[in-house]
Amino acid sequence: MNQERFERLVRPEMPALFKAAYRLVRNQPDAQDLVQEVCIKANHHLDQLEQCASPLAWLLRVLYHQFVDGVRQKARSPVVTTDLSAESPALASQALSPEVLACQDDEERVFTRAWLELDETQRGLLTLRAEGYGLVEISAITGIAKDVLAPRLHRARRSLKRYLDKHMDEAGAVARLGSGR
Amino acid sequence: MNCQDIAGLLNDRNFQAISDADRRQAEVHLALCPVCAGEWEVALRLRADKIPAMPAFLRQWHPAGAGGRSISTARRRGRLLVIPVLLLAGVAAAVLWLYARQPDSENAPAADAGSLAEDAAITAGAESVDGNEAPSQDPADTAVPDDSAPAPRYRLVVMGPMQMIDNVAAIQAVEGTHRGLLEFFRSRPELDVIVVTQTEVDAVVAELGLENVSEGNQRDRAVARHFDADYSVRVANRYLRAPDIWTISVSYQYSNSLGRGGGSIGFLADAISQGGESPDAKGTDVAEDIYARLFPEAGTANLLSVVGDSAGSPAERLDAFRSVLIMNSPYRPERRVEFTPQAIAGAIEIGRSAVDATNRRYAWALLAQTGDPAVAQPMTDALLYDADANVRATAAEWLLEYSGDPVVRAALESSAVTDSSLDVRVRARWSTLASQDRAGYVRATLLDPRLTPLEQIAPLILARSERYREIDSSSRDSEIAAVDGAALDALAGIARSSNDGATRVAALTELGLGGHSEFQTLLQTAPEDQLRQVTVNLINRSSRTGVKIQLEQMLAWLPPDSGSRDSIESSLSSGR
Repeated sequence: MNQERFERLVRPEMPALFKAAYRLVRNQPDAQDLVQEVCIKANHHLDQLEQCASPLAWLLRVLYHQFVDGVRQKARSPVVTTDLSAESPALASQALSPEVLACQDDEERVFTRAWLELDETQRGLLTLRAEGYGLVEISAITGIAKDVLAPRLHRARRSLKRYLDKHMDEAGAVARLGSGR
Repeated sequence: MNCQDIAGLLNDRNFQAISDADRRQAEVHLALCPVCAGEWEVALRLRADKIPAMPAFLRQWHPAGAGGRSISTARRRGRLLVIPVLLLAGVAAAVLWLYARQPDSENAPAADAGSLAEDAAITAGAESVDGNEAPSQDPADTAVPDDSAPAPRYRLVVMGPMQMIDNVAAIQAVEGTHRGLLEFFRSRPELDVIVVTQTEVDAVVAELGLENVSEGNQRDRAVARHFDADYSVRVANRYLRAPDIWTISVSYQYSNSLGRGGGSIGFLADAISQGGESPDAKGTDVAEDIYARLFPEAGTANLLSVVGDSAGSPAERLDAFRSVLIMNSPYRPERRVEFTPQAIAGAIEIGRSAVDATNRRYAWALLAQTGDPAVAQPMTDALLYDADANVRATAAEWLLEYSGDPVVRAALESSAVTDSSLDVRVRARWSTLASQDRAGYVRATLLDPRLTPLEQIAPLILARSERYREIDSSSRDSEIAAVDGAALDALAGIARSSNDGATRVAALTELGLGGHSEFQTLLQTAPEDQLRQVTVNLINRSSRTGVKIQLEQMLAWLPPDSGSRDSIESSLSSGR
C-alpha cells in the first residue's frame, strides 16, 4: 500500500527533486543524498503528502529545509578528518572533490566556486527561481515572507555576479601566469 | 524600463517566456545599467545550467530498501548498485556498438530510424566509430566536389538528436531543431560537418571509457576529438520541470588555440508553438547564434557589417553592436574584436539622428563603452543640443568615460549649470567630480537653503542608485557613507516638507540609516506605500550599524496586521 502511494506521489517528482538538489550542491553524490533524505521523510508522511494539492511543493519544502539545516549543522560542527578518502559525514558541498572539479570545464569550475560562496539561503532562493518558481511559490516553499524575497533574490544575484567576477579574475590571472604573460 | 522593472521581470514566474517587446525594452536598460546587466547575466546563466540526468540507480531506489539507515549508508548502497548498472550499461553500449556496425540500415534502432531519414542513411554504415576510417559525413559535403568552394577549415561534430522525453511533440521539436542546425552549418563552406547519431555517441563514450563522466562539455570534447574535431554541437529535449514543461537545449563546446569552453542555449517548447516558428527555423536561428560564439572572428564580422548597414533598423543595428561588446569579454583579451570605423560611425549616426530617443540613448551608452576617441565629440554635441532630456542625461552620465578630455569637461561643466533638466545638471556635475569629492558635493547640496527639496536631495538619490555605486570602480560596491549632523537635519526638514513620494522615501531612508531622532515619528505619519518602501530599504541595509535597532523600534508601533511588520520580523528572525 505504502509502496503504491510512494510510486504515485513521490516517484514522478524525483527527477525534479534531483535537479533542484543538484543545483543546490553542484555535485551528484550530495544531490543523491539529499533526494534520498527527502524520499525517506516523504515515505514517513505519505498520509500528509496525499492531502497536498501539490506533492512537489511539499517535497521541495522538505528538500530546501534539509539542505539549509544540513549546511548550517555542518558549519556548527567541528569536522575532524583523519582519512581523506573517507566519506564526508555530512554534505560535502562546501569542498568539491578533485574528481568533481576535473569533470568540469573552466567556466563550470568558476561558476561552481562562485556558487558555493553564496550562503545556503541564497543558493536555495536562486535554485527555486532557476527552476521556474515565482515569488508566491518560493515563499510557500521557504517560509520567507513574499515581500522580502525580491530584495533577497536581488542581493543573491548580485553576490553571485560579484563572486563570478572574482573567480573569473583569478582564473584569468592563473591562465596568464601559465602562459608566461 | 528601470531597475525595478528589470527586477520585476527577473522575479516573474514567466521570465523565460518574456515577450519580444519586453526584451527590447529590457535590453535598452541593460545597456545603460551594469548592475541590472550583471543580474540578468546571472539569471540567464542559471537558466542555462547543465544539470545531469538523475542517476539510474536512484530511479529505482525506494526508501523502504534503505530501512531508515543513515544516508551515507544509502550512498554506499547506491554506489554498490551503480557498479552492476554501469557494467550492464557497458555491455549494452558494446551491443549497441556492434549493432550499429551492421551495414544493414534496417537494423538501426527505431529511435534513430524514425528520427532523421537522411541521417539514418548517412550513419547506417557507422564506420566512423572504429577510428580507422573517416567518420560518416554528409553527402552534401562529399558527393560533388566543388573546386571553386573554399576548403573547409574547421571540423564540427553535430551529435544527436538526443531524445530524453517520450513525447511526440518533444521528439518532433528536437528533430526539427536538429535539421535546422544542420541546414545552417552545412551552408557554411568553411565547416566540415560530421553527423554523429546518439547511438554512435554512446558507442564512442563506451569505447573511450567515459560512461562515468557526466554528460557535458568534457564528454562532448572527448567525442569530438575522437572524430578529430575541435567543435561539437548537441541538441536534446529535456524536462525543465516534471513532466509538463520541457525544453530543447543545444549544447556546444570548442577547444582550439584560442581557448576552451562551451555552453548551451535552451528554449521552452512553448517558444516554438507560441512564436509560430517551426522547430527547423528555430534550429537555424540557434545555429547562427552558436556559430558566432564558436567562430567569433566570423560572427563578429557579420555583426559589425549589420551595425554599419545604414539601411537596417536602428534597434537591430544596436543589438548587433551590443552583441560584439558582450563578446569582448575582459577575461578573454585574446579574442577581442576591434570595432571597425564603419561600425563606430554607424552607431554614432544612430545616436545623432534616430527618431526614437530610446535608440539615441542606447547608442551613446554602447558607444561610450568602446572608449573609441571618435565618440567624444558627437556625444558632447548630444549633451549640449539633443532636444530630449533623457538623451542628454545619458550623455552626461556616460561622458564620465571621456571626462579627461578638456572639451568634454567644459561641456559637462556648462551643462551642470545651464541645462533645463535637474537630472542632466546633477549627472553632468557628477561626471566632472573625482570620486573623493562626491561625498562633499552631496553634503553641500543638502545644506544649500536656496535649493528646492528635490534639488537638495537629487545628488544623494543619484549616489545611492545602483548604477553610480558600480561606476566608482575604485571603490566597487562602496557607498557614500550615511550622512550625519547638519545634513541629516536638513533631510529631516525635506521629509517634513516634501510632497513628492520618492523624495520623502529617500529622505526617510537616510534618516533611518543615520539613526536620526525624528525618524520613527516621521515614519509613523508616512502613507502606507512609503512606509513599505522605507522598510524594504532598511532591511536591505540591515547589516549596517544601528539599522537593526531602528527596525526593532518600528515593531513597537507597527500594527499587528502590517505587512512591514511581517517583513521586519522575518528579516530579524533569519539573522540577516
